[in-house]
Amino acid sequence: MKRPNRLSRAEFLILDLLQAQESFGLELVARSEGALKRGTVYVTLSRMQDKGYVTSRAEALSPGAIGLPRRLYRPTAYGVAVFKVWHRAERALARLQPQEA
Amino acid sequence: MRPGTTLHRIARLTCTRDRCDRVLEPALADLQHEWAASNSWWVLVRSYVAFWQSWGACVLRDAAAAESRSFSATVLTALALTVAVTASIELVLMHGSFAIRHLILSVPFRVVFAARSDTATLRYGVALAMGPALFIATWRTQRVAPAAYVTAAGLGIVLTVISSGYIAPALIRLEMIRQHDSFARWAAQAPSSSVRGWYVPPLDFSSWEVAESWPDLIRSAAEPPRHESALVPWYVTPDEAARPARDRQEIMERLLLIPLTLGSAVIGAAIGRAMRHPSKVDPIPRS
Repeated sequence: MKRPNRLSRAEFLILDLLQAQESFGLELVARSEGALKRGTVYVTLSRMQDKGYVTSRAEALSPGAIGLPRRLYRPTAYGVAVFKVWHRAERALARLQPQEA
Repeated sequence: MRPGTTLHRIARLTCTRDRCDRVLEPALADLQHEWAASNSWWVLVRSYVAFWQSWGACVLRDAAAAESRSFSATVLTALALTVAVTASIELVLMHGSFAIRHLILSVPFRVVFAARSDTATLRYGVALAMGPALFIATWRTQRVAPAAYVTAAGLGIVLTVISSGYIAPALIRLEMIRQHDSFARWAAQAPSSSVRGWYVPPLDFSSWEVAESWPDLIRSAAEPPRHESALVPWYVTPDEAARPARDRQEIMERLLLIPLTLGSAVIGAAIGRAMRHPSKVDPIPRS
């Protein structure tokens, strides 16, 4: 039986941030308050695209603009579903933890 | 000025199109946008660092792909064989007939010294062996990601730095210790009473820059000349006065082995590619 795709800490955080709105890579880094790093966020987003958690589109450049078009990321329906399952599992596991005296 | 243009070219040259489109171009696009918005050099530096981190991850992932793994294995095998053959030739020439050894010792000094101490292969051979290694690997492998060449060259540089900066000096030190001990034992047991009991000073590797490994060499080059005589404290021997300059020259010579490694690798890969049979598939298209 094939093991289900895991959700790493960074992927979970990215999906959480993308629930609210479509974002650029650097916006995710800024909104994560240091939890995501500039050097690794694009690699993580690429891996999440391979897994089908997110999809991206190139930003429409305004006429006369130069430079590369930025990419906007948003979660797929599969990514949203995976996030919700992991979020519920995390809450359930937190409830199972023994209470400290 | 629009930053990221050269980085974009480097990305296209060294990574597959897929990695470029999904990882490196978004990083560069954000870099350009942030620079245009802030014009801050600190922001640019941070973005460059982030780009190189992403580039490193892409190169490693491309190099770990199946077709790149067989290329890397061929490079390592060819490199090991070439270095072994070179080392064998060096040992035979330097420990063979006196006439051949005499002929060898007439070539430029630095190579001579290395050859005398049987470390020419370790110092120069690893760098030069990258040429044949890349030639064989490029000639034999059908499809390979550009990142595999980058990791092969990187590995060659690391091996060159280790062999010329740590292993070769260690072997030279061992040989110097062996000769010093042999002389000390001879002096202690010499038949002539005028020689027996000679004081043999301890070895000081700081005077021999080729015998110092990287940390010792860098420390020695940064140290000012020492006043070694307690009787004449202001006096610095000529040899000690020239020591930092000699150390810096040795550092430069070792660092020059890095472009030698790269040049050898590039030439080997270019020749291998030119000689590859036309029926063999071209490397994975970069763009």
